[in-house]
Amino acid sequence: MTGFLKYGMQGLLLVALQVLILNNIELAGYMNPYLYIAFLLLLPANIDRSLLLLIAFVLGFSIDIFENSGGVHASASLVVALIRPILFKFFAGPASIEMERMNNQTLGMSRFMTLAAIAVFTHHFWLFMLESFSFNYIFFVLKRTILSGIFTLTLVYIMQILVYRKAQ
Amino acid sequence: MRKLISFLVRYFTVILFLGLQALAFYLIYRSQPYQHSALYALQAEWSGYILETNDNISNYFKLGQINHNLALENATLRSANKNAYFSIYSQKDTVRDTLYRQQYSYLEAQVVNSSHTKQNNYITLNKGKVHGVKPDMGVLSTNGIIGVVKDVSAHYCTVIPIIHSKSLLSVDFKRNPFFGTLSWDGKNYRMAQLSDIPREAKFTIGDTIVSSQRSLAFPPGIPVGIVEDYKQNPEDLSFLVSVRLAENFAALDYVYIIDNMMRLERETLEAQIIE
Repeated sequence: MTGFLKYGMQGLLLVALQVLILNNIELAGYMNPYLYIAFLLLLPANIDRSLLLLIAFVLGFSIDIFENSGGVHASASLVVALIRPILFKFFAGPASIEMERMNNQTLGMSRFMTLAAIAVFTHHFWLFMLESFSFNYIFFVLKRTILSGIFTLTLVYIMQILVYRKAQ
Repeated sequence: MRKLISFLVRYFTVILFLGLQALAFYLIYRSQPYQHSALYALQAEWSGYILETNDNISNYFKLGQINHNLALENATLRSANKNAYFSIYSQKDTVRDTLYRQQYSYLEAQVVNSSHTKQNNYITLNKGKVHGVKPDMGVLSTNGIIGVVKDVSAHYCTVIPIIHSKSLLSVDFKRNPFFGTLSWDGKNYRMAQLSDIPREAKFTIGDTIVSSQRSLAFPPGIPVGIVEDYKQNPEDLSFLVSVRLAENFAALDYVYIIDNMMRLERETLEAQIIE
């Protein structure tokens, strides 16, 4: 029960951070970090997949409500939730199922950041693709994906250092 | 049933993912006017494309019937045309009455055999005695004059086209009243020769040659070809004109056989002069 509360608080905090602060950052008009997606990576590795999908949908949809964007964030979050177990298995091996958390402590900073990069770029690409809803702007979508993705990953990196330094 | 349940349990995650994803797309579709219209346009384009393809394919199989119907309709229209009728009033009467008597009737026919590379070319049509075809009837197509019916069997007839070494056709200039005889030298199936044009005739390259008013087989004014070139005979200074034929005899399909209903009357009358 405490775990549930802890993750709930974390999720709420990240959503609040996203909609209240990060959504207002629009560097060069289109660079926008989407840090909320990191929440999906921080959930316990052994979580039930169906539950993960539901959480992802709720998480994405809550962002959609504030951004007034229909369901694009819900859809992109679902994709990340779908590929998360595959990524975990690839980066942490079969032992990933027993691991409680995935972070720079358990996985090592470089491996964790690679994992996060794949998840973030997938999420951003899917998101911007749905927003433009056309293959005509594929280069613009790729540009947004890469620039915003780097922004998001920087924030993920900072968050990892700030949150987990104390544990060391 | 147990298999179905085990399948559902096994792929529950994927099914859940697809279901939630569908819900997300529905939400996008509902809320965003651009995505809404883009999806709608895509849907309309695909359904329209499929329907159009289907229509094109079925039309292709109906082409034979469509062509036949069009040719029939053309024959009817040509029969109803004004130049298919013979006025029984003289032109002196200034009142133009609608009382006309039909002089020409048209019968549609299809070319079943033809040649255009020989000296003496022939065309075979799929209409014969049972359809009312008689020798010496005129044959024309949409482009212009083809030739004259030679022999008739029960269901077929042969036609001597303009491109036959023995073909002689009486023709007029469209612009002036001079007339001459069109024959063929057997060299080029697109060109025929017009002789006996008197030296005082005025014409230029590009003038249209049409069927003669004197013709028994054809209504007057049917195009035959255009003047391509001419030279003068040094002896009597009459013109010899090269005519580019309106009809391409290498590409014949549907033609019309013309029945001049007043032919017998005129022939009988003119025969009395000779006797």
